[in-house]
Amino acid sequence: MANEKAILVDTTKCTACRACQVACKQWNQNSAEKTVNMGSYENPPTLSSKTWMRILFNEHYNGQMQWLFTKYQCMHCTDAACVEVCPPNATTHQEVTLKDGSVLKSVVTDPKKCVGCNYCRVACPFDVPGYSQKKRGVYRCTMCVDRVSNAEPGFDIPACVKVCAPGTLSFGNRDELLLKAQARVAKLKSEGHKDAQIYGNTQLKGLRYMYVLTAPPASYDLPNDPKVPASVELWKLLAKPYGGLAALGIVAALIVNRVISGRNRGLEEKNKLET
Amino acid sequence: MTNQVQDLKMSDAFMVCGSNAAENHPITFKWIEQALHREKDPATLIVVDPRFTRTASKANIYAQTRPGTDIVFFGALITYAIKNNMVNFDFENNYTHTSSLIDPKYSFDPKTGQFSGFKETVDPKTGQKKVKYDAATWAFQMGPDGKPLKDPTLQNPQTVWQLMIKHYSRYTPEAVEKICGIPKAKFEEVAKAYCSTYQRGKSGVLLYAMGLTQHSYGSQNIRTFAMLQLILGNVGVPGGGIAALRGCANVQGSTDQGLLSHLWTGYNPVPNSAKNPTLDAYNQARLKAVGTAYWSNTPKFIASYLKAQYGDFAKPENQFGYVWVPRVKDGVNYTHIALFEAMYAGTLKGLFVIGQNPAVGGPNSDMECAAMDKLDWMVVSEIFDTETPNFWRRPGANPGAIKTEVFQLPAAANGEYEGTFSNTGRVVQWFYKTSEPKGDARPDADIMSAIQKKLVELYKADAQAPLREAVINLYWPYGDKVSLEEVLAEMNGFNWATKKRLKNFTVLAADGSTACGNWVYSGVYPDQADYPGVTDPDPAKKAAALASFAKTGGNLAKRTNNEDKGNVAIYPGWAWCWPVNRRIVYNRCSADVAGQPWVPEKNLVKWDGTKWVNVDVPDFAYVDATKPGSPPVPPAVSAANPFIMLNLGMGWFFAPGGGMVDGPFPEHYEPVESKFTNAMNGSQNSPVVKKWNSEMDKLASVGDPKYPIICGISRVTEHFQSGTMTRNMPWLAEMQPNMFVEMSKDLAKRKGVGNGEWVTVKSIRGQVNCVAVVTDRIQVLTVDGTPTDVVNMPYHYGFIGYITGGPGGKNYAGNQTSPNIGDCNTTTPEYKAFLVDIVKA
Repeated sequence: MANEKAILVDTTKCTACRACQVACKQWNQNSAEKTVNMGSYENPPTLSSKTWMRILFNEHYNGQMQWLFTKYQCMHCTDAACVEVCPPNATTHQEVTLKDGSVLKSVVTDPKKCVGCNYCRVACPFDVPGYSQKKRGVYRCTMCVDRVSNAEPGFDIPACVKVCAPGTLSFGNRDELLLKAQARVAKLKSEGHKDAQIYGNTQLKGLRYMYVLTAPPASYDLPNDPKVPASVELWKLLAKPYGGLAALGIVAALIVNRVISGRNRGLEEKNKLET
Repeated sequence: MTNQVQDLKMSDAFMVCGSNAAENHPITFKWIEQALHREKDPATLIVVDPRFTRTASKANIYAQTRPGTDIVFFGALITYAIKNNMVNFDFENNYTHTSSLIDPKYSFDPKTGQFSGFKETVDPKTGQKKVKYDAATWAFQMGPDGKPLKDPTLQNPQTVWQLMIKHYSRYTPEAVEKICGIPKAKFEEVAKAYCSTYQRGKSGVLLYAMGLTQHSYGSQNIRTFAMLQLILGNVGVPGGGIAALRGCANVQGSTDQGLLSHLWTGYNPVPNSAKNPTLDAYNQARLKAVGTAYWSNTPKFIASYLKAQYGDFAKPENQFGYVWVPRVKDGVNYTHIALFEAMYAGTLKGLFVIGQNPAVGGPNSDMECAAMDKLDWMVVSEIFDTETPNFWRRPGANPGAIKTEVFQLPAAANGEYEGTFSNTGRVVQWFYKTSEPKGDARPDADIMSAIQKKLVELYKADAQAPLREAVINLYWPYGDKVSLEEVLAEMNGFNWATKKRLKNFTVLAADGSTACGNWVYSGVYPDQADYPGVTDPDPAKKAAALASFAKTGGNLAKRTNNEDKGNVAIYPGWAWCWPVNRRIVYNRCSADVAGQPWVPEKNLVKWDGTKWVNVDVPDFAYVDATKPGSPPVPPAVSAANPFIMLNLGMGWFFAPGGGMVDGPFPEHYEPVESKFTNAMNGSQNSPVVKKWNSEMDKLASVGDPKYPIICGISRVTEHFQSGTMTRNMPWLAEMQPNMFVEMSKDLAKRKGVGNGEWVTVKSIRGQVNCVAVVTDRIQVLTVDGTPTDVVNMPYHYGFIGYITGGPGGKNYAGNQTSPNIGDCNTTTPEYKAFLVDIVKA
């Protein structure tokens, strides 16, 4: 992974100004959603085909207030359940070699191949892909491959990173970012943050978004131990080679799996198909 | 801001009080984060706020405080610093007037809450009571040499130092706990962390915004902290100062250009019809008030300003046109609140609104809308349709009964023309045009020019028009399409005869030979001969200067060199900063009496034994330009006059002569609407606060059980001001779609309100519908043993736009609840502390 690109999110610097959230919409020309205030600053309420990233506002109080902000979007997992589960192979790992010789790896979905089965959404341990009936396909963060591989120097970084004023986000070679994250965690520990840790280095064999956290991942509404559901492995072994056969049964199994694992954030909301 | 935005990265401690920098100044906060994450000796961020904000989320220390009690808190910090010997005595003894003796007739009586000189008079005509201080006793004891008498030992009880210690002896950690609701231990944690910046070479900065200014004693809030900064030696040094974070990208520019009712450009006072009948009287009054300060050059500034106003018509025989200029009437208030009171009273019949939305942003906005109902006409120039020109169809109004004629002028947005922004750190930066204005929209200056031309035509045709010459004699070289670069040149100033642009304000003359629209901007647009660096003996530097001139044409606001010359966050080649590209004002204080920086790492100016070596433009006379060869001036001279804009040249703890109308030392009073009786002294509110008395100017009484909750109005990152721009921007609107009120879980439980449910926030004046954001970020405070609820609303929402504040037909402007009470000195509205109740909608 030496010359592979990644994004580092140093949450200790994030002020939740959400410039990244707007920049993402602007660069990708995604339209706004009609939202309502549900009793929080957090909005839109879920990721969707037109909201590819959002900031989560996590409040924790135990005599001392902690307000933790999480940049949430497709993590571009190395071990990506969505890729494994996709019947028409619309969702795949993409590798683009950049001008500097490094490689931008991301998970992409080809809307021409997508059949709208939504298996990826159910399988994703992060609840990410957003389906649009109108746009015929699932949509997510692209790691701004179009910017990164085309733009002039200085702009050849993802839109969210470009606008990040406090320096929360950095884009670069994964090994360098990892060193930076390790140094940061060591410093945070020395300042008394005993739960300081890196998230995304080992999870699912490496996420292309890595985080510096000062509390356990769950405090940031990140799964402590994201996994490709066992049923996806089963699906891969049994059903996928034979197309859509037995698909219904597998999806049912996945849903049961999800309910059991208790990760149901926003799922009901998400499952309302967008038009 | 005394320093620069970038300079924040030089700081060791941030006191963020009355500001929510991370949310409302996100780019400023970037520089704060650089200091917080510095490898060596990272800075400490202290946030004192009624709410745990996004700024607080990054704080090392957070203290929740009761709105409107900052003087108690800051006063206790003064006491703490002095008691614990956390005083930069080298600074305080040499650069402030603590050893000066004050008139023995000066006094403050905690029983009455009044300073000496309090006067109550009754107008025999109207029977109205008028309260005012006679500041005669707020004065120094003067010696025969015309200078204040001093006691350098500071032992004399009449020294400023001893009087200050006595005044703030009542301001203790116990008082903070009782009045602010900040536990004593928390106060001491804050005090220890911040006051440690008294050490040589350490610096701390106060970041404040509307949270300190929007109180009936807002100016005194800031003065209190300025006093602490003088005690700690935090003024004029890198990473120090008083950082007023301005509310808009160009609000610094608006005050620089005299948009306030009491100021001309460059902070010269507007003439008063009774006190300044002639230009000579104006100048003499000013010279008497400013004493030894650099302001003694006022006659040059004013003559040049008038020359820029009236051009060839400005002649010595008509006092350069002074005879024509409009004056303010003595004792009349012309600020926002007063204007709307005058409209409501029916004495003001027309209103011109440019880039403002008082129907949402004005205090007691129901009253402001009712005042608009009484107008004959209103003109609104805006980039979007807003609530103000639609006031006649606000929820609850009867359009048929409102006769005001409304005209709307579509304005171009910045980016549809080019011009300058003057940022919070006084940096004047050029912005460029990116696209054409849509439809009939025109830039503000073009609109203004069209109106001016029509006015001249009408005034010329009417020989009897009042103040006719003031209009028809104006120097107005601008056409239908105004070049703002030409306007900038006029602000910079030029020789009237040759039209050659001036070097800076040091060459202004009082004889009408120079024209200068704004003396503080003089130097922003020099001629090639005066362009920085063009006479440099180093050929490389000279070539670079000439290349820069070729790019900018002399307009220094266009410069983009981001080199940090002395590694102290000073960027002299980035745009231009007033005055004279000086990045940190009072920078003589960055060095000790001998002219040596307090520490080498924070070097702005330095005496090398024979001359000054400068990173920043010195804020003192460092060479004597009156002598041939301009020899260097040794440090002792400037050490005796480090605050060149103040009379007597020293930092003020005590404001003499009525410079502050409400007292020479800041004293705590309660917000005009308060749950509590003033525990610091016998006056509930500032003795000189103005309360208006129309039937819509209602105020809840102290501790009114019908309005038991303290409320403040603020902003969020996602929206700007009255929401005119941001509520019409779908990507921003989707993030903060509704009017909301933040409240504690405890309060929500008692009110039976669930998170995300609609509630109505009611004050004695009006009510507003909001989504309840129930959160741990606001806790019930314990004030004087009493559980005290605090809530907070944004003010961005209304009833017009892509998003309003909620479902149609209802009220969503937070200011429908706020009072039109103003600061005693500035009339800035008291948006930040008033009383409400909350019910389920």
